[in-house]
Amino acid sequence: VSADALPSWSDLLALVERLEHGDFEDFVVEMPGLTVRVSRHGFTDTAVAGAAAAGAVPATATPGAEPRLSDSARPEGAEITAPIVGVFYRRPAPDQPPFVAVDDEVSVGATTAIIEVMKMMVPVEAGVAGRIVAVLADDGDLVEFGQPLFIVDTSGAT
Amino acid sequence: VTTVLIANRGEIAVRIVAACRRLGLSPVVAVSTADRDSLGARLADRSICIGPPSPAESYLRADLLVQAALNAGAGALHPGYGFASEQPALADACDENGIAFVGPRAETLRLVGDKVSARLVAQRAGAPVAPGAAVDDEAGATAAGVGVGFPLLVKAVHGGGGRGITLVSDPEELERVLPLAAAEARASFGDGALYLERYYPLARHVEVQVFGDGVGGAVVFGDRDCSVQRRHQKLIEECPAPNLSPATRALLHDSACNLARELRYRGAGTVEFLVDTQSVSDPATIVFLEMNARIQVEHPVTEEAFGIDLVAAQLQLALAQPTGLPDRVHDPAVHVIECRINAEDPFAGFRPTPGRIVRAEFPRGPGVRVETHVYDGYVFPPYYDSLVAKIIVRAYDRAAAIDAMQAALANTVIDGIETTRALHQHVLQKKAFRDGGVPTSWLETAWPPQVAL
Repeated sequence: VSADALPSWSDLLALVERLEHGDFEDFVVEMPGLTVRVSRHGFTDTAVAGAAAAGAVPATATPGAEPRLSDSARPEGAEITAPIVGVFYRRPAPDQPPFVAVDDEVSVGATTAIIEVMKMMVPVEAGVAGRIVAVLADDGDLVEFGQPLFIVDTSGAT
Repeated sequence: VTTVLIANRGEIAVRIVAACRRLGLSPVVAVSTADRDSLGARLADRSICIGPPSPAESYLRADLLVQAALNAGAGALHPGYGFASEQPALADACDENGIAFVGPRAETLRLVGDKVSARLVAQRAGAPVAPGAAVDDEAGATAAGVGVGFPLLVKAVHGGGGRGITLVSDPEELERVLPLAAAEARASFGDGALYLERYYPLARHVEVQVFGDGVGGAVVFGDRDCSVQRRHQKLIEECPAPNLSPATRALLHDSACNLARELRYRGAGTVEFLVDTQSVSDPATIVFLEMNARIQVEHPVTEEAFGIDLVAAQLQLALAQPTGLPDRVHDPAVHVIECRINAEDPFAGFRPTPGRIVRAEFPRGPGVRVETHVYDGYVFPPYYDSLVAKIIVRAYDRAAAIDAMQAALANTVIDGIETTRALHQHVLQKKAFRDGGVPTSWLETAWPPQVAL
């Protein structure tokens, strides 16, 4: 793509002005060789934040306030990770309900799952208090040390 | 395709990956969080994180290693050297879970892992052991000491790791030392039992490579001289050991082979001996030290001398396949030397030097082999042993091998951290080393150098 094919800054500013009165939280314009992302509430992405800080993009960027667009499938929050390598189980026994499910509140030290390592059961304790917003492993999964298992929204915790 | 769980790290993990590739096996390496980006992890088909950097929470944990093997669906587990490699619990756990342990049986590990039982089985196999005597009471100790001969070592029976050992040079000193040694043994190991063992101040460390079929057959693949040591840490190894009479070499090989057969030893093992340089007899006085029931750091020296792949042979034996080793072994027509490049500063008391290796260049050419896990930009971690690389050269005779090693070291560049390279360059040009057959105490007279390098 030659430089001539790229829109000028005034083209971009005109675009932003036209969209500003629309009902958008944020938008992304992709063209060959150029991507412009604009948000009313900012991105956590450092490249965009850096560009915003330099004044290159006329947006009200406040880094860290919103989830990243690319990570929309995985909610933001604190991770509960596997304390040991082994087999992941969400429930104390096959016929019992899971220790925790999405939207459950957990307190620090609460058992969220168990990992079986060589016939020993190791509890997976919550290191933070909050609301479970995602479960990242399935019953019977073989997990590694440090693997993220749950995501906890800690914003409502006192 | 059979998957092999590699329960180790560093250069030996890379080495085992290479053996797996040779055999068409699928290597999976167990890693701590410190080794996620290691070369072994990159070269393997997969890595499984088993714990934090501390070996006590990762590489030393038999339960985590076997669990990783189960997670990987592994049919075999190779323990490498060090860490859990000689833990009977690891071999047992593999057996219980239907995983082939690439090493000797657990019972063999128990037998040779204990000083007293190892010595007994060596004696039973007819291997010479150092004269020794248990000390029942202090009154009889002097007579026992005279029977053993001076100088001798007073050892705590239940001691270990080099602790609880006192050197005694005559009967008067023995009488003076005994009550103190017994009290120290009681305080440190909960038992005052003592053992006297003859000490050889000017001995060489010569070891014999054996490979047993597990049912009573064993083959010897020559010997290695590992006498250039610092505090029992081997720095240079060579094959064959120089300046041994045919009778001494035969005694070493036969003793090792008989021990392996006595044990019905399975796989690769090393029998370590002292060779007394003050001995005037032929064969010279040799004494059994210990058996290392694993592949050893210096195994490439033997591989290059004999044209074999010991790690592949270990894996094949564990998987009940032909090992690929020769039935008849000929004396090597070459000489092989290995230098261990460690992340230590030889000019500052061998202080460990972890940190970022900004540039790593290794020698190339005929007869040159390098075993390493480091690369440009690798951050050498502080948690594990200091081995950076093994430089191995092979030439038509010993003098040519030393010259080839000098050239290889001159073409080895490790920038960013201090290493032991300069020590090797210094040692290789010393007359005593070039003459061959230095004792284990020699290096401390040769390093630090008398004149600034």
